[in-house]
Amino acid sequence: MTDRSFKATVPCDITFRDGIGTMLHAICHGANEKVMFEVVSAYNEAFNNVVHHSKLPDDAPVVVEVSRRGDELTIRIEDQGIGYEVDHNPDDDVIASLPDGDIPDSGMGLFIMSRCMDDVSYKRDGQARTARNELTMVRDLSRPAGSD
Amino acid sequence: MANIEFDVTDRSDDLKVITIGGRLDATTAAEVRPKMIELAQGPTKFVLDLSKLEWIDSSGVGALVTLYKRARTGGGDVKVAGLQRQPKEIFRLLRLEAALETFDTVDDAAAKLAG
Repeated sequence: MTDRSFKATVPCDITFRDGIGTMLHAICHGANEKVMFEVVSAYNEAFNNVVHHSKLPDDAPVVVEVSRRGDELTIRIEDQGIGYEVDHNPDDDVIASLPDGDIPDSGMGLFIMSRCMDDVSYKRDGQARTARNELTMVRDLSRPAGSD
Repeated sequence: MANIEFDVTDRSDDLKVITIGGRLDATTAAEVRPKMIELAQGPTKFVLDLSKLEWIDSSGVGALVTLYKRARTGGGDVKVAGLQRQPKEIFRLLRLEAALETFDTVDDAAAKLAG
């Protein structure tokens, strides 16, 4: 498998999510279908998170960088919105952890990312309006899917 | 609704079948959730027919769980039928099947609710 990568800068708009998802799908060519589901699900959650929780205007740039070295896939998403916490416990019982009534989306999104990928890390660099959020997710494509 | 099919049929006086097809995600869940809240009034039982559902994310799961929790609070219940491919993987990863019991067919799920 030849190493592959791409970097895309798109507006902070949900309509751009699936185009990048298609390229991500292509870069994962050869991976098990369930693994592909996990990778694209994690990416979708990460992109949704930026669009819905960063409080950025629709035309603000979001950078998505994907690289594959052998079976190691790395997805990096960078934005300049407000910060957020990547704090989750994969052993939590999802249903029990949800409050009654309207259920927030953000907690389950991070949960899905952590379950689908091998490593999820977040850092925030810079200060105030120039600060950048950088979310990095890594997955060994040769590792079987969680449900296998 | 864009990219999503949403249909409700009465199977009996207290059992409704909700069919959701297409994508239940961040772009469509906001439309589905109010419908779930409206439906889950009183002790109604529901079968969620997800056999045509192609993709689900955390927002979509949230909409399903909204129905589940409200139905249970009102004395009703929810079973899921027809899960496959990516939605099935997400259910397994989130261990949703522990609460939202799943069946291969709508008939199987309805029989469980009737029993």
